[in-house]
Amino acid sequence: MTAMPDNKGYFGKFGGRFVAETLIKTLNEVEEAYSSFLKDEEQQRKLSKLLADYAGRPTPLYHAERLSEKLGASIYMKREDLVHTGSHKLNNALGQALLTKYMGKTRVIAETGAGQHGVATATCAALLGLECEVFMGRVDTERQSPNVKRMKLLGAKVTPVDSGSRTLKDAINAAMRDWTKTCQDTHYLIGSVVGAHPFPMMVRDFQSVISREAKNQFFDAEGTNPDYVVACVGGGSNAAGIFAHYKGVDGVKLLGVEAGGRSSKDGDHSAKLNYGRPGIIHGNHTYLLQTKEGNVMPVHSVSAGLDYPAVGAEHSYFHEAGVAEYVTCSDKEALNAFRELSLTEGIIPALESSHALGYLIENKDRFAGKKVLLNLSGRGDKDMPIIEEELGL
Amino acid sequence: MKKYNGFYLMGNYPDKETFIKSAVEGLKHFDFLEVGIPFSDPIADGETIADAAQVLIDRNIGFTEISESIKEIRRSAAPEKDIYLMTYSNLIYNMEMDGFNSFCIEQKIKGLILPDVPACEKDFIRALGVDKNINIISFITPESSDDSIIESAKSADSFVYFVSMRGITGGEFNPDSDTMRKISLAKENASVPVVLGFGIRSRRSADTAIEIGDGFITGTAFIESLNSSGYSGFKNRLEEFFI
Repeated sequence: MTAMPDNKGYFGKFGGRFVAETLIKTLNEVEEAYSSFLKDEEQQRKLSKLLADYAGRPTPLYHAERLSEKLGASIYMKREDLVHTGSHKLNNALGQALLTKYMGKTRVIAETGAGQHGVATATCAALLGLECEVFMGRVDTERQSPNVKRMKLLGAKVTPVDSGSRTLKDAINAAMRDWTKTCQDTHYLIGSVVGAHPFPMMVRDFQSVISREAKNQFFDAEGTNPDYVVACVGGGSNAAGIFAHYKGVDGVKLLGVEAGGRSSKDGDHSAKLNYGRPGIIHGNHTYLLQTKEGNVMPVHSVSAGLDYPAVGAEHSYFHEAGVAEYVTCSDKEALNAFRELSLTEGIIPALESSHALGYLIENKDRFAGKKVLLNLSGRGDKDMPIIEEELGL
Repeated sequence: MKKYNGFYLMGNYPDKETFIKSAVEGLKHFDFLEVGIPFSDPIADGETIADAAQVLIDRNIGFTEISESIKEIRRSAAPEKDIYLMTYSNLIYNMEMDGFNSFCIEQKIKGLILPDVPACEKDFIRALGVDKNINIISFITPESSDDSIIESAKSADSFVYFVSMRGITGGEFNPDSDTMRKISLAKENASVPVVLGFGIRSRRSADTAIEIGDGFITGTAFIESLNSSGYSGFKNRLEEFFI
């Protein structure tokens, strides 16, 4: 699992450190601190204890019987929606917030799309007494307003970003600009497996707790590994987490589900691995939705957490090396899945996770008779404003 | 070391004519021009330059259009003046490299200033096929370690871009004593000029930069002047620096 990235931060040809020279020293410091943090028993004990007592880990592996019956497959869900704050994002935020203290820094900044990572970061900042500022595209502050209020309640400053498309990518730009100025006392607590090395590796490692647990839980339940492991992919952190311990395992097929949006036309989706090509953005060489000249294209997804034009470098590597397969699920299919899981299992999923489920429902023949592990990465309370509009509740 | 001062203009901004006129006029005083090629996600730039880039992208203006303007500037400016392209790595990544190299060599483009390409990623960009005669400018910053300053200064071509402050373009120039020491260290080890950029927007800060470094680069101030009063605004700002 730790063979990649190489010492320059590359997963094959993807990754790297395409950032201002000003940040290189800081990235080196983060990399060194992370390496000693991993070896520091006291820090590791603290993290394990917080993951258990505070975040609520291990999360259950739930066998969705009614849904399984409907789809003719055996479907298990890793319940990351039950993690404190409502999504897998806390796994990484706790790790990096502890690392921030370990490095002696006093302030964290974060970007957020759906607001889940912003809430997780604000939560950890409150828990550990760190100053916190979260950058969020103006469009997202409107469509995910419950999370904006939660972050404020937790003591974070929420800064709406009005540049560019006013969504997740612009929030990352704003956070990177802030970090270039403040890196001496501030840690940029990146929420996905994106950005410059060591972030894609570090965030993956913190999220790998998902499959470390799930692999044993699944084996206990079924006496074997799943045939399919399915997760949605925006930047790719929950997928990286659930793929981590299944990479290269015989007979296990990894499926990443990208946001197919309204259609496969430019600007209508966020499916970079399906419709994009490699480029350089936000510090790494990776797949990107871009114009012929190399400007980043506008993207769309009904789900704010997937509304991002690029993807973590390791997923680009997986895509080209055939380690995982990346497919799409449309807005409509995701909304349908959102309703379906609510009605069939009494679980309201996040719109992001609904994409993974939507693919399963739409392609049920592919999964007939198979054992499927699906990462239910978050819960859907935050999506109520969109759901009211889209499903007319 | 002979002083080496430069100015930044966003290519074809606010329009083609004003850009060319400003570039030619500016090159009567400055030693080099940095031509910005707009990129959608300019993380090293402040609001002024990022907004200018967005205006051009909205008008579908990119390298193709700007390269025509550079040809005109070359025809009018003194031949000893240098021109650099300033943009982000993804635009170079997407260039049709043969055509790009020919253009740069014909128009005597001295080098590329790529703020998202630190020393450790220069080889990646070079491997895309950028001609060896086109320099990739080295950055040194107040955060650079002494070892990396010495290494970058020794291997630099054309000039060393010393980013004189932490942060993005358009901030305040106010180097502290440690930064001053690092500028001296870079000068001691470089065989090319050490030029200070970021935050230099007045005659006063330019004079300081010339005193402690081998020259200065200014950009945001000119874009602001172009925004408020077009070419005459640019001209007035230019006179502030040189008259």
